[in-house]
Amino acid sequence: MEIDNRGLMPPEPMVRILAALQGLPAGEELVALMDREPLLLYGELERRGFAWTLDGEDGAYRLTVRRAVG
Amino acid sequence: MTARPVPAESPPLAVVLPFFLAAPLGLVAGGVLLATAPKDVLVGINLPRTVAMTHAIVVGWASTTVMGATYQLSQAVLGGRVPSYRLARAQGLLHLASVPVFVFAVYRWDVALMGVAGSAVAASFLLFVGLAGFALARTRRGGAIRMGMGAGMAGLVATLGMGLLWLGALQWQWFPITLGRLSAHAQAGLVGWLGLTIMGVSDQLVPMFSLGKHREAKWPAVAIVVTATGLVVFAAGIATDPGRDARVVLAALLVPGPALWAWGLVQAFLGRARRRVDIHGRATMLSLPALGTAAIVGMGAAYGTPFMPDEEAARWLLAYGALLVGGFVGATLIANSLKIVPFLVWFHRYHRSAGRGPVPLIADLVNVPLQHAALAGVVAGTWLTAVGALAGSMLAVHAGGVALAFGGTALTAALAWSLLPAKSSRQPPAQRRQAG
Repeated sequence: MEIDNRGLMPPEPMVRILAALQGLPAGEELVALMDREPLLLYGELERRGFAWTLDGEDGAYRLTVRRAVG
Repeated sequence: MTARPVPAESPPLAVVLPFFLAAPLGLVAGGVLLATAPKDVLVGINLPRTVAMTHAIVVGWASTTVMGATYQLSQAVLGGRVPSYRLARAQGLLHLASVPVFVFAVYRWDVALMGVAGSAVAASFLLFVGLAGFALARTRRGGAIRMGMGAGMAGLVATLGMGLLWLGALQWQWFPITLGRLSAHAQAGLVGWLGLTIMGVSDQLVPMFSLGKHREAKWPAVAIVVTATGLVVFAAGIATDPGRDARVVLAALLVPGPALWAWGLVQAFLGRARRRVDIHGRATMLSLPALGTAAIVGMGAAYGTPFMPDEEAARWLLAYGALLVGGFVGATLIANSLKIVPFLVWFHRYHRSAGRGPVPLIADLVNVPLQHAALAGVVAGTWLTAVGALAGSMLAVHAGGVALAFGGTALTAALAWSLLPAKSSRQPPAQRRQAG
């Protein structure tokens, strides 16, 4: 699953990612395209049991989120 | 490059919000003092009412806002950690209690009370430097924002040191407090503490809010270094009360750094992806003509006679102060406050519910007319005061004070609006597309 959050102002990218994760099937991953690193999202992802990695650079980030193992 | 990002944490609302909500009251107080000022405000820049007014605005409004922003940004953006939220709240309370007393003491020119209240204000600032400095020292991200905030703290310490020294000299007659020494203290605060901090913070926030690209990190860093170096030389030189030619050279040292920074900021803004200009973009762009005009007026004030009669020097200094503090610093603070506070409130109230049901967005937490009223009041107040001072018109100066007080009131209301209960205007957005 991929969502494009480029061009959106905070907190809409965070809201869209968390909404998309609600229905994420087990074993799948969500890829979000972002303009900015979502610094304050990471703590919430951790609290909801997700793991993530970040690729890219400022203006063109790619956040990959999946359910944490264990 | 694949990286495991480092989580950042927003400080509690109770730590940061009081700074932002209380700060504009300093602007209101300064505006009222200006609106009711007698004619001697155009004659002497160091008269009690004028000094009280400038401290209400610079220490009461601008510094208090920057304190709240520093606690927030050093953690939420730079990944640092304020060592004690309880101490940060205590520092805020000490600051908010001592500044009004200090301003009152200056207004009454009660030197003994100025000493007591001034010491409390200094203690609040020193505690802030310790707490925020600790957070900045432990940030996991760098760049111009960290450099600007760090250099700003150094400027703050220098300003405090000079302020306490001059207060002591006033009380115990150690040495005369000359115009040059006062100027060194004022510029250390305006350029060193507020200016350098704003230069660093804007380099992060302007691209963030306008979706522009960060410039190469070296250019804002060069601007900050050039400004800081020029300021050190300026302060050391002006404190000796040199002649006119030296004053002009020293004043000129304060221009290149901000000019380089402003040029870079305009480039970043012009290259933004988000074309629609909101309150942040408008306020930021409106701040730059004030900065440029302040530089010109400041150079004129440094030149002094025979460029202007002696009795006009105070008017040029008043105009310079209005443009730099109200027009540049003030507009920038409005721009950032009106972004930071609604987001802070949203984050602390709604982020745990995000994605699980309808939540308000930022647009549901703001009152756009109030925001623009605040900006309009401050911008109008700045230019009315500056033009009035230069032209010797008390009518314009008083109107400027009224506009500033109005702007401060509207700003308080606009910030407090975010705290009102909000309903979501729409459902969470649907997923854009599925891969594979």
